[in-house]
Amino acid sequence: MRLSFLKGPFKKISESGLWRSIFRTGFPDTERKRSLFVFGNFFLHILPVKIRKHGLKFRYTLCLGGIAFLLFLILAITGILLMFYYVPDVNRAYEDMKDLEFVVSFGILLRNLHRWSAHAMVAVAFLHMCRVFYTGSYKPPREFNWVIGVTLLFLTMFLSFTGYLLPWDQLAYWAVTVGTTIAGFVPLAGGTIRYILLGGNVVGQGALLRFYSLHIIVVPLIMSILIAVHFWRVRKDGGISGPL
Amino acid sequence: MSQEDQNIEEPKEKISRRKFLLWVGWGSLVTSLVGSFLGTARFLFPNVLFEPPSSFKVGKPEDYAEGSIIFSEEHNIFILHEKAGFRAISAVCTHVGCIVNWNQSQNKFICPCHGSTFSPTGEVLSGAAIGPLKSFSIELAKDGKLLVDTRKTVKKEDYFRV
Ligand code: HEM
Ligand code: FES
Repeated sequence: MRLSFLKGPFKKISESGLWRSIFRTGFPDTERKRSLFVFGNFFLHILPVKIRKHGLKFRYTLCLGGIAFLLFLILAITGILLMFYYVPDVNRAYEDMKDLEFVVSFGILLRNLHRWSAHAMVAVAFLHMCRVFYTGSYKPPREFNWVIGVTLLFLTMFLSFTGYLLPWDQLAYWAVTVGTTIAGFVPLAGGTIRYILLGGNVVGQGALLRFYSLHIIVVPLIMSILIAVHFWRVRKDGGISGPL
Repeated sequence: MSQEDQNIEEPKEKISRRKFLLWVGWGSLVTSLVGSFLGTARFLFPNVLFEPPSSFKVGKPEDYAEGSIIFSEEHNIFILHEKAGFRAISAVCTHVGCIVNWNQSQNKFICPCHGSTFSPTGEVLSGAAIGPLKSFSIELAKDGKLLVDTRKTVKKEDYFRV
């Protein structure tokens, strides 16, 4: 082989300390190595060691929770990219959205990916809840995961609401005017809730900045933590529910 | 040491060192947590607002012919001039905050969002809204212009007369 001259350097690299610190188990060609590989990997250790057959049936979960999570990841990635071009300033926000659509390469693709995934995530999280309900998966011992789920659904909707203001167009402005007025009708605390949500009395710069901060860090961070707990609970409650 | 000796050395009421330190520890922890929580909560309420002023001038009384209802887009109010005097009616719908339109032929305010209708004085005629449109206080400024103050509302029978 003409490539045989690579053998020497490759051997040197694959026997180096750095290489072996990364690929600790060697090529996973035995059952034992494979399980060691999964156990020793942070991203894979989340996977259960064993899974019941029915839990894999597509018809049972419709993979709706998984799709909701996939959408969450897509939203996080596209959202961070959009942040590189978007400034939450009342004089710039709308122009920046237009630039993303007409000037930035692939900007329109990213914006639409973000927007459609956001709509889809609300729908899918809701459908996932329906699936959990119709399969009776909210029953003991999974009540706590149902509670986390409800929180996740509300946070998903709040994420959707805070993101809706950011384009700063007529649709955004009036939707948030209406939404925050509704928040103002909460008994006793309504006025206060509206005031701290808007950072004032009108939908203006204060509101745009607060919604932006909530949208890009506060809510996603809380949701990431809750999603991790949600998945962990699925495992601790004995995996996906099913016939006993 | 006998039982008696111990009792003399440590009277029952005395707070032990352990208890004292526990109180100090928990006390300062709770105090600092509550303090920073309250501080953070207060931080969320802005003290200075960069918003349109709550009182503003809307021109001279002569600018408004008797029997007219004129909309100010800048301030989202209608200036109503009737025989009885002037009124400044908020254009913000009391349902969920859209801007109502004046409909001359039907002689009422109509909200484009969910169809609430209001009389020329702001009373609810129909629709989703349950409260009347707000009417703001009007005064005459020193330069002879009408001064509207949106912090003060007036009753429906109150008109401003020059
Ligand atoms: C942000 C939104 C959500 C994400 C990303 C998510 C993700 C997941 C995933 C991946 C699973 C594994 C099974 C499956 O794919 O169906 C699951 C299970 C579960 N979810 Fe969610 N979920 C969300 C919202 C909700 C909501 C709104 C509820 C209900 C109120 C809920 C309650 C549950 C329960 C009880 C289980 C266990 C189901 C079983 O054992 O069969 N989740 N979730
Ligand atoms: S906001 Fe005017 S009717 Fe709903």
